[in-house]
Amino acid sequence: MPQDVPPLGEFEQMVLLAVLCAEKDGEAYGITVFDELTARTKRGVARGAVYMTLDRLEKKGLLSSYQTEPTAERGGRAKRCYQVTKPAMAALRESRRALLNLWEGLGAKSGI
Amino acid sequence: MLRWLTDATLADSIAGDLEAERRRRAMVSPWRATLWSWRSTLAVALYFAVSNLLGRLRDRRPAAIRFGGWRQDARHAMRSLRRAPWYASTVVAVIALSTALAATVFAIVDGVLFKPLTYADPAALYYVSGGFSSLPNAASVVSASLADTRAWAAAVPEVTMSTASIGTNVTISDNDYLRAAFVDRYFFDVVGVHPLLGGFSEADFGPAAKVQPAIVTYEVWQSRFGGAPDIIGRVLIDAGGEGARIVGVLPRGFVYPHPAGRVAPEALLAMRTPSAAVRNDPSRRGWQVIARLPHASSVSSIESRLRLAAREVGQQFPVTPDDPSASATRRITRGPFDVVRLRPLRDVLVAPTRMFALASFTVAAGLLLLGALNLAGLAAGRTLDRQRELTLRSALGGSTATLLRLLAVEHVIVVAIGTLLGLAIATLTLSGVTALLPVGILLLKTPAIDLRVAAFGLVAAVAAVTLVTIWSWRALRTRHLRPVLASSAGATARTRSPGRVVMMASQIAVALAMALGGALLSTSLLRVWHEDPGFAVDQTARIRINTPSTFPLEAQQELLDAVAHVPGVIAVAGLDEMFLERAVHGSTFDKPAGALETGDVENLSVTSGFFAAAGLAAVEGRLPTRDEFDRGRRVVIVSRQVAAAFWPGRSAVGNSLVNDGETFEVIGVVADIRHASLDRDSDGEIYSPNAMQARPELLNLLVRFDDDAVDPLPRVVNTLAIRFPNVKIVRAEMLADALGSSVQLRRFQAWLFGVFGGAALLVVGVGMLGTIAMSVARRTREVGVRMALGATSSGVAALILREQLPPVVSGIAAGALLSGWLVGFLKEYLYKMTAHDWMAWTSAIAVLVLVTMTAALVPALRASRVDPIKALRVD
Repeated sequence: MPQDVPPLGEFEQMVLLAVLCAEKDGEAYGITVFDELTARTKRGVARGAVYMTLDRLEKKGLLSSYQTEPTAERGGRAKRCYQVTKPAMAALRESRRALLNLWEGLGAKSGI
Repeated sequence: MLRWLTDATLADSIAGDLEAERRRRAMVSPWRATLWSWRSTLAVALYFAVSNLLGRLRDRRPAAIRFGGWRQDARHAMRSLRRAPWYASTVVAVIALSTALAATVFAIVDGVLFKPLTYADPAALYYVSGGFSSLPNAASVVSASLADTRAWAAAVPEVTMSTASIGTNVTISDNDYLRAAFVDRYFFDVVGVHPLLGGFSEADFGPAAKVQPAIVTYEVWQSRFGGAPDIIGRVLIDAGGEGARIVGVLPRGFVYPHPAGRVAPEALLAMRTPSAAVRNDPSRRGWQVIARLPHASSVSSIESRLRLAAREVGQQFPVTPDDPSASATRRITRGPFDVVRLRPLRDVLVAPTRMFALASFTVAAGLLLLGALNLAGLAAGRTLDRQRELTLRSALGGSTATLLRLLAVEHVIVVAIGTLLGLAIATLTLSGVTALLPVGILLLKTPAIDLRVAAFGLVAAVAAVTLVTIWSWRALRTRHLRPVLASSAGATARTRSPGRVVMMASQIAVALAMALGGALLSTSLLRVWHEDPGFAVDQTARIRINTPSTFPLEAQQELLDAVAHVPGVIAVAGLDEMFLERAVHGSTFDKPAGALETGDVENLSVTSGFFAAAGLAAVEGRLPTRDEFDRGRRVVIVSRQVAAAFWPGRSAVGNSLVNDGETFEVIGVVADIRHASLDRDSDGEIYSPNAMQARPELLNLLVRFDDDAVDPLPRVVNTLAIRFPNVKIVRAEMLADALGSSVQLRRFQAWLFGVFGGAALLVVGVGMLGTIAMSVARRTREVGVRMALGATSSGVAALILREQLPPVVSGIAAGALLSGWLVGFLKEYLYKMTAHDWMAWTSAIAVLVLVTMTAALVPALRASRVDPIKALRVD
């Protein structure tokens, strides 16, 4: 792993991937990221944990964010949309590579 | 809430996300969406709060207590609570219930008991009132004359005074008005609060005009005018050209500072200069005075200077002919003041509500105390369960501080969750409870779950955690490794400790006092309900209306005829009187010579249909004909008490009564009725024709329906709305509901104390159940040994029950002593009963015994079913 790519926790990886999925369909913000996570992982996830992780990833420089115009259906509040940064993409690729190598090491007769 | 926990932009975006999601869900089910929104907001806030707390504790962890650390303690506590779901959920439920009820009450009484008045430097504000030294406590009267106020202002020029008068209305359309008060030009300077928008100009205090300049309250501006930005300058008049010109808006939550104005005015009017006759007549008392005293001035010295001024006014008093029918007190109060009193404004404003607020707050605090005691008992039991683990930790180097922290963290978690849940429930219940509040209670603040209530919840939570941690520490004070590890689960001696007895007995004592309060006030309300109002209640309705300023007798008759023709209506009457609205105006009829002493005889101006609508039959003489009462003949009907007091020992029929020089013949006698409220005994009534009044008006309609009529009131309301659009229907209700409203304060008190009494019983029941269940679970091995040695199931159950007797008996004894003192404060709220009513006492004690015995019986029966073989294999 390159020196400047910070190590990712399991949940952080999932949140980053959920941001990418949500971005593909439109904007990645709290609700869409939460929906992607719960729909694709089939896991119960705490809403607070998603917001907390998004905030932490932004502070780590793995996400960047921008705000949209406030709208009436949001009670006059702005939406905070996230984008995955280059270091995060590198970290995800690195993580994927490592995992694939490990799976390949097991071979076809692993029984898993 | 989220803004406290994270930065503002993130908090806003989360709130926006949740709001958007709520609206999406609301399309399917609005209430489920609201519930979801509350739950999600709380969950996110809790996640942020716990994460922030753990983060901060990790950063600040001192080297000296590294054993485990805060974060690890919290994780350990969470795991440990998950393993004891019954304990965790019981404690959270007890804390949530106590906090919800206590926070609701605190939100309501905060303004009366704790919050400073919202005026500038409120400690310098005083209420000035006159009094009479020859009456007990120099009885102060609320109102003064303009001659008094002028003399007072001249006597103490360094004091700024403001004169106002309450109890007027200002018309804003043909059939609508605002309750109003007149204030002078010094009013806003004296209270130190100025209008939010606009204000009076000097010209507004000039000569009287048909259109009056008015400053409306913020609440009226929002609710009646939709917060319109162009409110200033709007002119609202009726067909006769009378009305108001809006010149300002008061700040939000402004409280009118005169005690006479407990039904708060909706608008302030500029006090015009009255006529010389009114200005100079010292016997016309209708004005209230507040004063702002300069700093460091002596209240007693100002009072004595004002007293001298009052004596000078007394010399100008007209000599009134001695009225033999007036009581001695009345003769004194018709004379000049010889005492002037300055009372702090806050005391005067809160005095009528203070006892009620204090009693409510005391029961709320009692419930919180009960919750904390309960939690302490449960937590102490849990600490005993964890004794083995804690002793091991101690043996491995854990200091006292470390172990104490471990206990405290667990308590903080359950108390914090319970408190947050309680505050959330209080937010939902507050509006419902506020709606039940009787009209006319001056709260000095709009009830809301605000920062002050949150702070109250925090203080209560901190106190509970402290008490509980200290108590569970007591239970753990012996930590010798060997005996604890050598013993299995045996802690039999400790479960019977004096501390445990004291803890349970205190809970039972507090619960008894609270249950008794509920029982007494509920019994009192039942007594009121059993009173006979004297008139027909079933199938009868009261409709309060506002008629246009010009609504002649013919129009009134047309309206009554229209109602009479609605299908199902069998009688209809008009009253120019309040009915079941706690109003007593008295009578202007002269007492005949030889009359006995009476209470407040009430003169009711009614139409001829009143007696049929109220179900009143003549007990002597006859009822009036339509011609007599609706066209105006000089006849009256009197009630039994009036007949007996005015013409003792002879018939009232055929005698005459004089009112304002006019003679009326008594043609019949009917039963007495409770016209003011269900809990006010009748002092007798005189019914006179409405048509005989100088300016006959209709204030209330009394409508009686056929017994078979189903839900007939809306038909009458619709008929009135369609045929008489210029008549405003203020309120339409069946008399059963009107009777309930007439005892609204009693109903609220009984409801409040009943709910608290019930909650106290629930809390004490759940707490005892938990404590005894934990104690029995610890004694599984002992029970097994007893049963192996021949004890029967019923013997074991009886043993467990017998062990609960000392705390229950001592708790009831202590509770009876405590209650004997506390119920004294309730006596003025009880109706025709004493605070030592045996029925209420017996039922409260019986229910408490039943609850405690049920709470003990469940674990006792469980213990009696223990299989000795399995029990002896434990550990």
